[in-house]
Amino acid sequence: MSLYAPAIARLIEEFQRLPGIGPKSAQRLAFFILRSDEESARRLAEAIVEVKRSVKLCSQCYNLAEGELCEICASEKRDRSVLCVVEEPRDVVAIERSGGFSGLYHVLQGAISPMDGIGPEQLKMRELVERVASGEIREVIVATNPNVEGETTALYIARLLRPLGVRVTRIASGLPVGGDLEYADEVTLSRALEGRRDIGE
Amino acid sequence: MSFLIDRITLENFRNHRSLEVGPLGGTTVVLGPNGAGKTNVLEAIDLVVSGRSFRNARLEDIVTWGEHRACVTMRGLRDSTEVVIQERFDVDGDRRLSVDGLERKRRSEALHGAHTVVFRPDDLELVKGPADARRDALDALGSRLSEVYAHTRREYHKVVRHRNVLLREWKASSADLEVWTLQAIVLGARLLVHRRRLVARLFSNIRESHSRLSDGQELTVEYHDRCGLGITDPAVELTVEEAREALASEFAARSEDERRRATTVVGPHRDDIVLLLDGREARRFASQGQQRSIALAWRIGEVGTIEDVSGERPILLLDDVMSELDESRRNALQTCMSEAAQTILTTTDLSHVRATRGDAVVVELG
Repeated sequence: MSLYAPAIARLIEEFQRLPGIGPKSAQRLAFFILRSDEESARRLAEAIVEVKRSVKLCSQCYNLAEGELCEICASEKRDRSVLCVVEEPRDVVAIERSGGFSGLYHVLQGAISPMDGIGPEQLKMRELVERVASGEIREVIVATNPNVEGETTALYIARLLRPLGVRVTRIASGLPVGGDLEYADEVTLSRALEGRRDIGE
Repeated sequence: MSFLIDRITLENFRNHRSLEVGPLGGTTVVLGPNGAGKTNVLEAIDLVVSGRSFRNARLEDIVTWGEHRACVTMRGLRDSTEVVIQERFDVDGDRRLSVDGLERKRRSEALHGAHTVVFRPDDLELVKGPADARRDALDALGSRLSEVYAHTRREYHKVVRHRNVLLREWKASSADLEVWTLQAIVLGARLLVHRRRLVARLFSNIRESHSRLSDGQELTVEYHDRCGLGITDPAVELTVEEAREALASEFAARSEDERRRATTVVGPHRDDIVLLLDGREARRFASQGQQRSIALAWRIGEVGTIEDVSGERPILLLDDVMSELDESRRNALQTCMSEAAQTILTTTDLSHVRATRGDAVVVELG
């Protein structure tokens, strides 16, 4: 089937599994690596293996961590009564950069999206409920993305956590509608955090 | 403000590896045999100005086979200043719009609300076709005119698709389904209100253009919703709260039905817009000629609606429609053209367009 030597065909195939990489981009990447010197190829391969070996998920918030707990969960300075729920580790980075939040995080590892085969069970949802049920937390700020999947996830969380007697708020719009949190600039993000509201029925 | 296209350059766009068309006039006739790629030129303009292709094509189909990237460049005048609008389309779905070399994210902002209206032989489907032909045409117009409409429609359809997966494949628990139902109600209500308002507005224009095309028959419209509302007159103003209540009770009433059919049966994605000619459904009872008049009146009505809403005269793109029309309909279309910002039309035979504006520029392809 493939007109390439098996080794290069295999590399193209692996690249094609990556998000946003089509057959043509995969070819381009594979040939770039083929042309580069052995040392840089080795560095890339080692970086890939290393990131899988050393970076784990924080056992408390499921953010990326190099130890048992991530830096934020391990910090003494954070407010342990407020929890901010986000979809991905990169959202933690975005909110941290805004400097408008000093509580802890909970990283769901995605949003509810039936079309992609993701329901609440595929997310860190049960873990969220257990965390909130264990006491300390007074308020949960839901900062999932302002798109359909993020909004639905926020609704789901509100319905799940309200009976536990905790305040559940949603970051206010001010975020570009339909956009991903990641792309919001820092000013809008901190304003959005200030203007958070309780999630409607 | 208006935008006048003077020159179009296509690179790797469908069958055109490299094509330059221009200078264009107020009216431009693109002449050529079948297969010369005349429609592709119209499609390129529509794709850049409106953001979507009237053929609903995927980007990978637009790029010439074997190439990575297609490029459309339009040079023209905006408020009598020269402007270069360019868009690149990559096979992998990436597209970039730039104005005078600066990349722009928001099309409507970048193009200062320039619009197109496309006339095609398939427009007959608006009258003869199933409900989705009319719904799609309405929603496409609404999306062109308003970012909010476009966004609401996109998000609503995503919710319906998610919900259908839950119903069909997951046999979802009601707790899992409930949040999606809530979203369908909130977004569906918004879409319903927006769409009914657009129907009312568009139809006052369609009725007017139709009266000039027919011999005194009366065209009316009814909005048949599947949202539990039951108000067929689109001119009746509806609040979002009322729409939400109607949808909520309809969802509750139809929940067993929807489980059985494993799909979302309630909501504006199933509504129909029914056209009546002298009180009888045009889809079933009107003659072919009458249907053609209604379809033409619909598109001319879009031109008027765009002018009403945006204050801008749209660019008309006529894809081989003249040969289908008789004398009186051709005249109506020509009146519409004379009021448009610019018209670009395709034909295989110049005799079909003899009577168009005297200053028409003829460009030959193939």
